[in-house]
Parts: sequence; structure tokens; C-alpha cells
Amino acid sequence: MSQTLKAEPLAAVARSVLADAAFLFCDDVPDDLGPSEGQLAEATITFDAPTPGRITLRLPWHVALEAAANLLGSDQDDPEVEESALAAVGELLNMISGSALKAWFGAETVWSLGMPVTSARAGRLPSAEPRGEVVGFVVDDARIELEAIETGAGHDQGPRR
Amino acid sequence: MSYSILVVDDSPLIRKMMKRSLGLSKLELGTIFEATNGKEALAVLENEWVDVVLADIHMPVMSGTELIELMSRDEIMGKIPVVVVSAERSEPAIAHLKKLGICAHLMKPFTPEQVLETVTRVLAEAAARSHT
Repeated sequence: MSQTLKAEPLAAVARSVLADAAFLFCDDVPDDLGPSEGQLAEATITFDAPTPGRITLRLPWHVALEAAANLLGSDQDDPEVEESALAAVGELLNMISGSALKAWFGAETVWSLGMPVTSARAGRLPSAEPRGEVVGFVVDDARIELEAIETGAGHDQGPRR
Repeated sequence: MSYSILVVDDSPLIRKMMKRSLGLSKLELGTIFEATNGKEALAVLENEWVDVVLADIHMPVMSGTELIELMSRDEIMGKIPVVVVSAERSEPAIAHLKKLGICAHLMKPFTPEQVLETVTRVLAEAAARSHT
């Protein structure tokens, strides 16, 4: 468990950013909701800070489409939405990460945020083997997940394949 | 008078969002130029008249900070108002950008209203400066 990259502030900023930017309103995961499998959109961003690390956002593809449509102000059947789905997930993670770093380290700290790396893949939520602090939500009954991992000395050094 | 605006962001999604926001404006808009990084932005600025630059910070090839530093050293480009549009929340980093002369910092996520309010204000301030 990270002493710095705590889950609660990450969850708070994620709820706020997802609602304000993409009209994705997050609820707590019900105790009786099982894992889901299918096509996922994933974005990872690394950061250099007093505790360096990375944050990953994973969500089902249809939620990524919803996010892109809401960001663009378009209908989900607009071809532009499908093209923009991964970019939308990357941009949402970028916004979440900026706020999370401020929450974790304070506004007076200098940090450096990398650029989001995105991918689409088949997978399971929640992740079977999380390595860091994980926060989960549901949006319209679909699970989404954020994971924060320290990558300093003695910690995980690279994205999971 | 129509205003030409340069949007600098590596994300095509953000560029689209900015252009849509600006399209809601009552301002008379000329060309909205796009660049995916600071280097491309400089090429536009060297060849086109631009009234305001909206720039992200974290971009490949040339960051927004490098772009603003280079603009500030140029007699003509240094007078073009720059609005930083980023997820940057570090106050020392924002203070550094202000020292370089940016006119405003718009935080992501932004609303179309925030974009319009900021651009309108920055253009009005630039017009007032040009009349003094």
C-alpha cells in the first residue's frame, strides 16, 4: 500500500473530473456486482514527483464511446466519436492526474506529468492482479477502474503487459 | 474585425472541443489555426497573423512552455496573447508560465463558457493595450 498515492483523494478527483468533463456520474460499486469482461479502453500516464509513479484508467469500450460523445457534444453514432474514444480516455486521465498530483503532493510541489499512452484490449474489470492503489466505480452499471502505482526504487518499473 | 486564433494541443479531441467552443462565440472569428505541438505552432506564427494563442503545456516535440519561451524572445510574437489550457495544477509551474507573460491559465476540464469568457477578455485586454 502506498503511503503517498492514496486511494481516497484519487477517487474524489476522478469523480469530479469524470462528471464535470464527460458527464460520467460515478456510483460506488455494489457489493453484489460481479466482474465484467469485454473490450476495454485503457490509458496510462507516468509522473515524476517526490513519489514517482503512474496512473491507469480502465473502462469498458462503450463507456469510452459515451465519454467521447459527451466531450465532443456529439451523438454516439457519429463516426468522429469512435475515432476519438481512446483520445477521450487519455484526456480524462490527464485531467484526473493533474488534480490527483495536487491532492497527493500539494500545489506548491513541482511535478512533471507525462503524456497518456492509450490502448484498446480485451480484459476483465476489476483487474485480477492489481499492483497499486485501486479505486473502482460504476457508471451506468458498468465498472471503471483507476490504479495508482509507485515506480520509485524498489517498486514496479513498467506497465504490465 | 475578425480574430484569428491558434489552438495548440497534441490531442485532436481537445482541438475539436476548443474549435466547437469558439464556434459558439459571438466574436467575429477569422481562421482557427491548429498545431499539434510548439514547433508546428511556431511555423504558423511565422506565416500567419494570429490574435491569440491557446496552448497546452505537455506536448511531444516541443512543449507549450518551450513555445512560450521562444515567443517571448521574439519582438512580434512576444506581443501575441497566450492562454495556457492544461491540466497543470503545480503552482510553481503556473508561476513560471505567468513570469513568461501568459495572459491566462484555463484549467482542464473546461467548459465552452470558460473558453469564450477567457478569449473575449484576453482579446479586449490586448485591444486596450494597443490603444494606449
